[in-house]
Amino acid sequence: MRGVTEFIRRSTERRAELKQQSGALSELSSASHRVAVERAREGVRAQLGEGLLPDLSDAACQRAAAWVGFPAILGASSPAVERAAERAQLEAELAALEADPDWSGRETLVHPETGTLSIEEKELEERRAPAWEVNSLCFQSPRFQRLIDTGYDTPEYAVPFWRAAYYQDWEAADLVVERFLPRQQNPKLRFSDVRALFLEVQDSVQALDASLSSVRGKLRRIRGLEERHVSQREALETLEARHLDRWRKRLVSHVEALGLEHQDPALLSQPELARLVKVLDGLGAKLRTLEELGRTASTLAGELDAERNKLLAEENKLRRPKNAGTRFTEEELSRRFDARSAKQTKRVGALLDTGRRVKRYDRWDDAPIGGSYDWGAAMTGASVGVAAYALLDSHAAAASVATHGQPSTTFDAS
Amino acid sequence: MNERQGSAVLRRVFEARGLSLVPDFDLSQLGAFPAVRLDGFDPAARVGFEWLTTEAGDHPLFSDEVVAALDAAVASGAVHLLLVDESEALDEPSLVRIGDRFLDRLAAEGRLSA
Repeated sequence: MRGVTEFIRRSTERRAELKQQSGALSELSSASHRVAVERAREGVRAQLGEGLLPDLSDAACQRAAAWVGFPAILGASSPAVERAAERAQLEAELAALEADPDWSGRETLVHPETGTLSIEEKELEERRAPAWEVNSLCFQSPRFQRLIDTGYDTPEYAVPFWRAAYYQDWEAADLVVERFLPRQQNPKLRFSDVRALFLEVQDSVQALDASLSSVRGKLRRIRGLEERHVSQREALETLEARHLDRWRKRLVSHVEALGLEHQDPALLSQPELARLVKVLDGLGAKLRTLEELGRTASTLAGELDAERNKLLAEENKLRRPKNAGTRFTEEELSRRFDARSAKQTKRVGALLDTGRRVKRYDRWDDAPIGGSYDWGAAMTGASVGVAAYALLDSHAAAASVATHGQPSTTFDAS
Repeated sequence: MNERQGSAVLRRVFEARGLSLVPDFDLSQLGAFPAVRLDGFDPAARVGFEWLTTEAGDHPLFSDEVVAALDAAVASGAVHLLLVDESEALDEPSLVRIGDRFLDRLAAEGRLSA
């Protein structure tokens, strides 16, 4: 019979093993491999697009249509037709814009130094500056607006001297006057003088602000015309490249949607393009397989972590004094640790091995154009239908199916 | 400042001018005045103050009507009261200055023997 110490020793070893296996599975479920595959797919898409459609000439479009069975590139909305329509629209917008009097006279209006509107804006800002100064000095006192509203230092002021507010108004008004004294050169300056200056300034500020708003509105409109002109010119200059890019993407999407089985046999006349189509299809399958393996690894890692936590709880329970006398047979310990360990090590090892094989896989030429191909079986080295699911116990597989629907099409594509 | 602190500050200022303040003075004792209790009042000089705070429950007692009646009494020269509301958020130096200026004004008008 074995005691608590032996149980804890073997449990600690088992937990270390579970932690190591869980860490290895996390690496398989991380997104980094899938990101690399996705990046590779983008590169292949670009190469395939360039190969299928080097330019937008009629001849190039006809060749592409024949290779991948894509008549849309020759129809009523062909690249030539689309480009002509957009060019006409851009040219018409540019012509309308250039006919605008604000556009033709923009140099004399908005030039930063000589433009009439620019000069007018500066003059208005300069005239408004003193008003800013007056307002700034006044509103340094939080009580200033109250002094204006109550008519302080005018016959309208009605706060009696037996109220605290009377003295606070008095102090606030004195501070405001002190701020203006150095500028006004008037030692007898009173708050009523400041009040008159403030009110006068407000009237002029309103008029100046209205003028400024109008001038700035005109300036904004002309700058908007300039920006629009630049963007329309740019659209015109990039017309060819944008349409070429768009049609390449449409062609590649079409090819991807067809899959290997439904590719036009004409593609076989272009071995390099056919190879790229295979690579693209295979990378898609690799991505799906890695996703499925990642989910399976995640599920398995969860099981290992749960077992680790359970062991730790058991250890803690056995450390209590009242459990010090607990005894285990060797058979119990072996069943508890050795048998389970061997089984799980095999499952984890098989899954990690499959992951490594899938990541390394690059035998794209094995797949046929015009026929079906089981990428999953080729990548995992398993026969059709044998997948990561087989590496899990039935309950884990059932959980995975419940979460993700049908098992991976990669493995079932037979 | 709370009721106690504000009243103490004003009491010091008023007493520094020789006034003998009666705390919690019922103004109606003097005749036809509103029945309100003032925080500090000298019945002989007829000068005092009220520090209005929520803490002391002053605001319901000093309703608009009561304040209007007090305003009329002060305006007629029957009594001289400084009314300070806590909502003015005064600190002690400000409160001292206000008390002094109020009393200076009464002295200047001959209503207070300085």
